[in-house]
Amino acid sequence: MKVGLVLSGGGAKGAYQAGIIEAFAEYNLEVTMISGASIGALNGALVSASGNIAIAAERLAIVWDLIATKDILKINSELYPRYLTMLAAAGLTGVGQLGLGLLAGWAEGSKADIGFVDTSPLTDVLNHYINPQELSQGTPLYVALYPYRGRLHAIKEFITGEVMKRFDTQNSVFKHVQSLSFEEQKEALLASAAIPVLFSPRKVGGRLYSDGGQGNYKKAQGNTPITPLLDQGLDVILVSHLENGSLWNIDDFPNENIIELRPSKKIAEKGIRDTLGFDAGSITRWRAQGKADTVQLLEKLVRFARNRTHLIESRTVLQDKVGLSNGSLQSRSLEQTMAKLKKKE
Amino acid sequence: MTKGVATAIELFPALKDKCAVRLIGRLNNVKEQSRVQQEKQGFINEVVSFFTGETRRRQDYINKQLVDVVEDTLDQLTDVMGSVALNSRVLCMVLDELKNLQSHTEAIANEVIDLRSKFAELEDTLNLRYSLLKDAVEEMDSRMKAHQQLDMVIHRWKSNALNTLPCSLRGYSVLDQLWWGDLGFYIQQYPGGEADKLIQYLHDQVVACFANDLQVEARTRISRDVWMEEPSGSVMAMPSVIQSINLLSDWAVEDSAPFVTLMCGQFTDSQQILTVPHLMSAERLGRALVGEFFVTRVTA
Repeated sequence: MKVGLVLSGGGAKGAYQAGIIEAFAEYNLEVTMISGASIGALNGALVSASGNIAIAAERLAIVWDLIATKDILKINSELYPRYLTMLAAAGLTGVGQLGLGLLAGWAEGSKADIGFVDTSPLTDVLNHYINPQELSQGTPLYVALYPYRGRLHAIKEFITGEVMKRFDTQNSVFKHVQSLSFEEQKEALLASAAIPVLFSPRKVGGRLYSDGGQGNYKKAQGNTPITPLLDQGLDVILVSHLENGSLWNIDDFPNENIIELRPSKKIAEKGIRDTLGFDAGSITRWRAQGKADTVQLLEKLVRFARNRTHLIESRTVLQDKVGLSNGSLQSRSLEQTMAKLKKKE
Repeated sequence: MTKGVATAIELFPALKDKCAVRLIGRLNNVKEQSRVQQEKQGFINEVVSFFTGETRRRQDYINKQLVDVVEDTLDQLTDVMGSVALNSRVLCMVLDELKNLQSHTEAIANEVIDLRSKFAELEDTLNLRYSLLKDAVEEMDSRMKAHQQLDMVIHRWKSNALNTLPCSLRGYSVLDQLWWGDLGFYIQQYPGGEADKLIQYLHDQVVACFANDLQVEARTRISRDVWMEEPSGSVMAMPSVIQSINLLSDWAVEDSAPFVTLMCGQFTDSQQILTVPHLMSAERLGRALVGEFFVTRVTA
């Protein structure tokens, strides 16, 4: 059975995807191909390098437990003034937060594309838990990357796509990780997770890229990166979402067999604070929710499909038997015998 | 089998089933979007949604997904109704056949009852036939024994074993022995044709022996005294013999068995038995004695 897995972006809410993989491990459901954006790319890399789903679930559990206890995000000390502005932005909700943060970052005047957050703790985790050799030989993995054209361009696209939600914006591109060198693999993963301004863009194949989740905000083309898995002959594609009410539309892919794993309860209430909220309580909660939502959906599917199959099978058998009997269940030999018996009398 | 393997076996076919994935997936999506729609309330949210068009897009999405869900459910329902209809039709066929089988079972049961009564009749007939056969075999066996005894006793008479007795008592002795033996049993148990033949044969033998003992013809009349004469070496002098004869002949009365009464000395000289002639042939005596033993006595 060929199973595709799409892991959307969503920062710390990626812990939800660790719960999904845990559920997969319980069903012994191996994944044939993975495509991820942002935190989905990092989770996808862990799954890809693990070899089998049970090991993947264990490693994700370890990594997310570590993330919950360790400060994965470190502030770049040379960017303290910007930090203060970001802190002010944190007091706002939703759109206001990131928007003000980005604007403040730009307004500070620095032209250096240095990210606000130091990614070295994250890089350490990647180096420790993702073996490049294993990744190269692992499950095929595609990551979404967004061509970086400067902060101003990122802000403009954010406003038109994410804020106004009325315009199609630039698409993300996808890189097949196993086709890259070891060094570029790491850069591609970090690039996919590089939220503009917060993280520095990374160079892959001589070009700068940032958070793959930015691609075409309106259709979530980048953040829900199904494109590389289309027309690959997959039996089913499982798509995980990390936001409430994603407007990614399954009907845009009528030729594929797709099932979406959507949160059954509100997964994010605090906008950027949830995206960057790498705290133990939230991580534990999201992991549990991811597993529970997946199990519930798959159980429902199994029950329905099982009964449907039984119905079809029994109907076929019954039709065959009825067809053979030509509309009557009488036994010819019995009728003949009874006729002989009655004749004797 | 571990839980993982067991559930994978069930899950793979379910994931491949596009109809199931479509229906369950869309239902799940609609639930989530409806929840989000409800949660996004408040003036500012509604104003923002108005400008971004998010609410309308979400509502369109919900509507489209709901229509798909309803259509898919209708398809499934149609399938189920088809199955139910087929089941009902098959059930009718089964009921019809059940009635047919009930009727056949009744016919077979009646046949069995009929056979059973015929078997009972046959058993009775066989038992009767067997009983008749058994009786016939027993009769034949008894007749053979009677014949054997008769021949043996007569042979003994002819061998002069009774020469110490008066001639008439020889006959009495033989007849008495025959009466208490197989011949007597046969005559009493199986009166009729064969018994009469045996009696006739006995009569002929007794007459022949009487005639032989006195060296006369069977029809030659001899005085009663000669018949009663005691031979030399007679045992009649022995009181025990006389007592035995008296005891054994206590069944004989003058009216029905005059000859035996006379033979066994039940009367004194002064008494006259009118029915016993003074002159009688061997044939007469033999007939009388055989008659008294095996005819009169049997019918009495």
